[in-house]
Amino acid sequence: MLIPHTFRKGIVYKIDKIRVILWEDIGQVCSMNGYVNTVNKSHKMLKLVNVSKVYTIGKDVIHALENINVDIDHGEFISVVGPSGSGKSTLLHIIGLIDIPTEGKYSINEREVSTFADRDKANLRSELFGFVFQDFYLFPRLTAIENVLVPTIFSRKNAILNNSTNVMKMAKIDNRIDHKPSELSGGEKQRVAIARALINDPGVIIADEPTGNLDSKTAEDIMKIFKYLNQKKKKTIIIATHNELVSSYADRIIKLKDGKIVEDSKMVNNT
Amino acid sequence: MNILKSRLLIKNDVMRYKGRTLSIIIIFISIMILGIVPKALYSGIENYYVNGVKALGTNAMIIYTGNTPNFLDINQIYGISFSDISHIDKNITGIKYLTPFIQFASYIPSNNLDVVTLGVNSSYGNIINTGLLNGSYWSSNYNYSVNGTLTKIGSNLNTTFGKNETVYETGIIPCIIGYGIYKDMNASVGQIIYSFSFAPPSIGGIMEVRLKVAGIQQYRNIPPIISSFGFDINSMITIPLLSTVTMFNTDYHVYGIIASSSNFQNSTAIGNSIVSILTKSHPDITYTIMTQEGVINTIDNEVNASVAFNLILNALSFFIAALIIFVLTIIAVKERMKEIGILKATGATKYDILMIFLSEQMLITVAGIVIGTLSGFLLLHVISTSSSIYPVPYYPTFSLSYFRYTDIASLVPFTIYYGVTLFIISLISAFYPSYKASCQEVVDSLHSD
Repeated sequence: MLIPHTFRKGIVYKIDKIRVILWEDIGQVCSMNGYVNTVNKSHKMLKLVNVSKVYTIGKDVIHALENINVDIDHGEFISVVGPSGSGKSTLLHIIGLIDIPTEGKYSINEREVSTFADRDKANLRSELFGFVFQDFYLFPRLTAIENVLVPTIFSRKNAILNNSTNVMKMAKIDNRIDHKPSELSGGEKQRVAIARALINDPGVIIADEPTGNLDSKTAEDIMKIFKYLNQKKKKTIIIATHNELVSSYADRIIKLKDGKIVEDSKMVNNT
Repeated sequence: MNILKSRLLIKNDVMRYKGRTLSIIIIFISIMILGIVPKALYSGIENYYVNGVKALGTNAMIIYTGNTPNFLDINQIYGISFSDISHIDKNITGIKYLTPFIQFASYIPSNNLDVVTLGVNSSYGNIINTGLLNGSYWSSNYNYSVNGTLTKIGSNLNTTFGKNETVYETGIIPCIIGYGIYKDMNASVGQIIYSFSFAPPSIGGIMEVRLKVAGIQQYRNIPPIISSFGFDINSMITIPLLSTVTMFNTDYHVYGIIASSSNFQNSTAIGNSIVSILTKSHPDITYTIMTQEGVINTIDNEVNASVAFNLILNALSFFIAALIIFVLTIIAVKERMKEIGILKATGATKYDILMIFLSEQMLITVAGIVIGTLSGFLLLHVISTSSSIYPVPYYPTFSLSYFRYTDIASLVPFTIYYGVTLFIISLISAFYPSYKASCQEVVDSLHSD
């Protein structure tokens, strides 16, 4: 209590630095209510068992997903492919905790998602997952850097992790930090969205058609960023796409058709 | 992070719909003004009439020869005469002062009168004319001119006359002149001190009146505090009844009588005695006694009725505010459904979403309340300083001057209660739509159009 402010600040800084080291060394740390702590790399990080999702629109019952069984490990780069309506986005939404399965079990680090409270899911969305959407979903009146910082408002992680300059450099958008979305090209907007997804240093990046609104050159640039994040930053990347070029960056491809997995294959030597 | 949160809230949310935000703020400003200004008026009226007149400790009365006074209708004049008043004066004890209340038109035939008598050796029975013209009648037609030694005459009812003396013109007799005139101007008997011409609507032509000093008042020993209907008696002149009769030189009828008892308790008895005497000579006339107490009660009742009305108005204002906030929060939620999805996808909890929408509405509400409060008090200041001092009339009438008597200190707690109530109502109204927004599923929000 009597420790001078500057000294206290120094201590906090040191502790944070240690936390960062621990974070990167041990793996993902979910600081939610203490029940998920360090990650045991002996089991799968994300596990879906017989997951189905059914939508009812009027009298119509639509089976968006049927009996999906998927294990996702740390550091994987997965491409979920399939035609429109095959359930790619639904699968990503369930994985990213922004939708709930109608049936089946979904576990994160062996903890079943259905047992999570709303606040815990929000914490995981904030700290374990980073989302990139096809339509960018940026706030039009905020600048690029402000958009990037939005998730930090809801994050409980320490500010030292929230290095906006670093993430903007990673997403190669650090030269446009004060520009509003209306002043950015499609590719630049998507880079801002990627930087926003990275700001809380998540373990998993979920990207739903991230290049859907981009030309092929820009799409390739964006995919290189994802590859870099996967290889250098050890992020798990899950991308939904129907673009073959995009899926070629992944080292595992899950093919969906009519809500079912028709192929789950690993690519060899894809660097 | 709080700074960013504020920026997100203000830049992204509040500032995006500037027109709407401004409209809500203006509505809240109006509601605050609608709350503060009437309350200030009631406070002013209360202080002006009720507290002010009660503090005087006297109970003046006016006895009308008719139920509905009408200054402009000559046919409404009833038949009390000056001799009646003289008779009353001689036969009733305990009267502090007594004065005829004359219909203005009643002395039209006596055009170009030298009317003023400044009493000599006055005693009880002298007339103290406390009448006051209602400013809306013909004040604009006054055309004062200087005669004799007077050099300072203004052109309105509350005219500085002589040296720092306020002249109260009566619509009945233009004969109330501050005693300072004859004291300070060294007026002498026979001197015309005041003349004016005017064109009252009732005669349709110009009338000229000259006031001549008929005598010099030996001022009675009246305690300085005593006044009637807000007038300080020391600033008035007393005019002997007989001199007044002489000045009209006839037995023209008067409209009523203004009287005051020497103590509060016997005022009703004196009023009844006066009516009794008058009834004997004029049995066909209906008399109405209005005492100061009666005026106060009337005003009290009117204020209470207005307060009740105002409470309904306030409740209506609150209801409208609640409805507006409720509807606009629903609209804001619907418009920004996708944003809710994005925020939730990036880690916002239900509580965060709830707080974002609530904070936004509360920010606008507080801005409206604060600006409304400042505007209300500024408006009060402007009204009270720009309105003239207006002596209390015999009838409860509306005047902006009442605002001069508003007790601002007592208005502060009311404003706080009012503002806090408005804030709470706004908070409650915004809560349900905000809560519904917070409960929205992420995927549904993201897929909304």
